[in-house]
Amino acid sequence: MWNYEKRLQYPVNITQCNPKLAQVIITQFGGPDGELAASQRYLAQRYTMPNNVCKGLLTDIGTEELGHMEMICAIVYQLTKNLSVEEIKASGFDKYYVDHTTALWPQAASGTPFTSSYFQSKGDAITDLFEDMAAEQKARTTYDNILRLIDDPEICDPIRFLREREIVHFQRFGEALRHVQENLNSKNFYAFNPEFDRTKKK
Amino acid sequence: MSEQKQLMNQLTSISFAMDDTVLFLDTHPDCQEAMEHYRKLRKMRSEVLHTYETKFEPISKYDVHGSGCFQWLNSPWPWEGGNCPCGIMKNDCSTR
Repeated sequence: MWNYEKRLQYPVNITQCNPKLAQVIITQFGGPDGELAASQRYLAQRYTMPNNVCKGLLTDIGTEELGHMEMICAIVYQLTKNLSVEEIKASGFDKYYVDHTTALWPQAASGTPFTSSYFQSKGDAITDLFEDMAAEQKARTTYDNILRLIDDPEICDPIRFLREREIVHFQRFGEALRHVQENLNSKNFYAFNPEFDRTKKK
Repeated sequence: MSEQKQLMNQLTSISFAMDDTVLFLDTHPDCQEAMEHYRKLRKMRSEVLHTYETKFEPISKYDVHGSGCFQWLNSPWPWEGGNCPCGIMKNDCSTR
């Protein structure tokens, strides 16, 4: 069960719209390294995890990613609020507008729709945690790329916050991976799947 | 800054500190220092949340007080932002 709180994890208050930038930032909603993919990856992987550290961490980071998705949507929403037809045409937003007006729809910056093939839920804790660490780095690179394109402090501020969180999550997933590995036979990390193989009862 | 905005800022900061502490505790469940920090934050959060919801509006559907109409719907939605009431941005749009 999830409970909604009527607040953002970090405030988003953008006073100048910028539909051109909105089309870039939307990639962190529905793109390959976006927050929707992140939340669904972690929340799908958690069920079969072999220990409570992994189950707890994936639940809590997956939940935080839902909050990040809301922040990205808030940024895109505020960047495209009250647009005139002239602004829509001049910014190249017309191709998105024709299908979605100014509503939020999960797509990459290229216009490619969201797909669950952006992530894996493999059923092997080591495999999945390595993917999770890579996912955090890919999202961090995406935020770095976005930050190079903007100078408006009202947009940079929440984007920097989201970038920082990728780094913290990477650290925590690394600790969870170490925890899983420490509970395996050190000569046998990759021949044994802790989510599926059972050790023999003595 | 209005009292409501100040309280919401406090709630945001304390809640974020808790989010971050919880992730640390997930991978360091035996760390007493982090657990103490968590307890301190939890107390602060419940006080600020109580003040906010008593003076202003509920942030959870489980905590709608009062005998009048259903207040859950009346406060602004978080994506609407504090600084951009409807219509304000129409005049200063940049399409660079």
